[in-house]
Amino acid sequence: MFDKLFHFLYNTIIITIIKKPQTISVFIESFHRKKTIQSLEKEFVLNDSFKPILLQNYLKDFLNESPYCYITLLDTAVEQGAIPTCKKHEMENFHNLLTSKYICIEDKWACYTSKPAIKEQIDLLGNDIGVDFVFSPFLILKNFFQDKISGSIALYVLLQENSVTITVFENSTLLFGEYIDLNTLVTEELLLDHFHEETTEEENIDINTIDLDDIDIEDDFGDIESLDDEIADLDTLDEINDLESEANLEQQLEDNLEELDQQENDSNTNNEEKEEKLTMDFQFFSIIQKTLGYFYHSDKYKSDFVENIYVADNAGVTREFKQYIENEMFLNVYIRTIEIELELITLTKKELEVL
Amino acid sequence: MYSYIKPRKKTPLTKDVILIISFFSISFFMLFSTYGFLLYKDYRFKKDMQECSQKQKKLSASIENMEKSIKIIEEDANFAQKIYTTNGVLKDSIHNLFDLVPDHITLSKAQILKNGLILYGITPNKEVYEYMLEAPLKSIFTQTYTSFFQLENGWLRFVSTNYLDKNSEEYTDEN
Repeated sequence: MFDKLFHFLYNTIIITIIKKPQTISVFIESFHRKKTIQSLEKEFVLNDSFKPILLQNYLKDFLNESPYCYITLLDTAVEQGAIPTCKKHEMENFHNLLTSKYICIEDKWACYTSKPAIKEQIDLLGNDIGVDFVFSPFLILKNFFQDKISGSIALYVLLQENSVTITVFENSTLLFGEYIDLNTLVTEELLLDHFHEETTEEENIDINTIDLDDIDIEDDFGDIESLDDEIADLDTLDEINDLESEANLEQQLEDNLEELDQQENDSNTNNEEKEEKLTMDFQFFSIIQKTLGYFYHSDKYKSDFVENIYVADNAGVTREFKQYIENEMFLNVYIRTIEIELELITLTKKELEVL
Repeated sequence: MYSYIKPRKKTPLTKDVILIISFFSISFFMLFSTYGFLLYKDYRFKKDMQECSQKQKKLSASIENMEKSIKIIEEDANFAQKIYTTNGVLKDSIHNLFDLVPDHITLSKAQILKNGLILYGITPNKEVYEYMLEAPLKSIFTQTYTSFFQLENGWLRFVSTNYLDKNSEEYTDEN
């Protein structure tokens, strides 16, 4: 009773913290009895002058404002993923959970993360401030596409600046889940190495070394052709006209390059940005393509032909990304822009039973 | 539960809240203590007032009784003084009276009235009485009446009635 009384007296504050490659994004929402009072956003640039104490001091003001202040983190651990079962003896087939922490979702599937990584993320805020919730990006994806995952099989992707979260859901049940951290991909080749074991060598594209400046249309065509072949093999779509597809892709890439050339004349800066975007889009595309291939080939997963891909975009992909997927993977692409901070707030509210 | 960790328990009792609660608790405690003390004092005062009122009533009644007693005592004292004075006067009168009576005459009875004197006695003869007793009596009283009758031994029994005026017949026995 007293708790309710004090909840009535104080605002509830939810602080979400998302660590990005170059920044730490802090989003704060305070509300009172389901009514939002204030929303704030601040970014801390992770340069040499950044110290955790700066973030801690910023948060302390809000912690002092209300005792009902909850801090939520998005799990950015490299070693995390989702498993299409919630039975412990079956889980071991997918991942060694000795040093992992996992949670079962609706007794159907589970998402796991590394215990040391969680500790490391919590330690960033120090003991005084602490953390109340750590959510998996898989749950963000599930929550964001809640209206879609109950349908037929589809690929669901969460694109962030530094990571890609890929899941396959069918009738609200997870069939496949992978988290790929782009920062560690260079050194660890975490996912690709794994995929290489089960996929053909032709599929191997070192996505980390891809730079649009270095793209040779002819070379890339070789790779894309092989991808087309693979998709055609996988999907047994006999009617797909490979030549037509190649021609389309060639035309498309030529167009892109022409556009880039034009923009180069106008502004070198814009051009560089565009190039970066396109590189990133292609990187995302490659990861999705490889991951889907892995899903099809792996015996561990109960796979089926995927027709639709739902993309939750937090990285700001371009139109080309959609075209890559549509043309190369023959999937229906649906892109929704996602604000992860707001999704974290929603999940936190669900946990607090405010909603 | 969708989170990898459980939220920490939130307590509304922050340092500020504890300070405020402490401040208000002490304030209210002092306020209610003072209020209670004043109530007690008020109760005690009313009770003392009632006691004083009762005491006052009792004392008033006592004073009244004492005043009555004083009055009675004063009256008694006055009466006693009066009696004492009267007795003194009477004693003097009787003393004077007996001084008046010569040795030859014997008084058998004397009645002292408020304004008169009746003497009974015997005298050897009428002359002795007239010269020795009647003369001083006449000098004192305004009216003097004497009657004699003869005894067997030749002496005379006399009754001398003396008044200062004619009105009163009241007298007191002095035998």
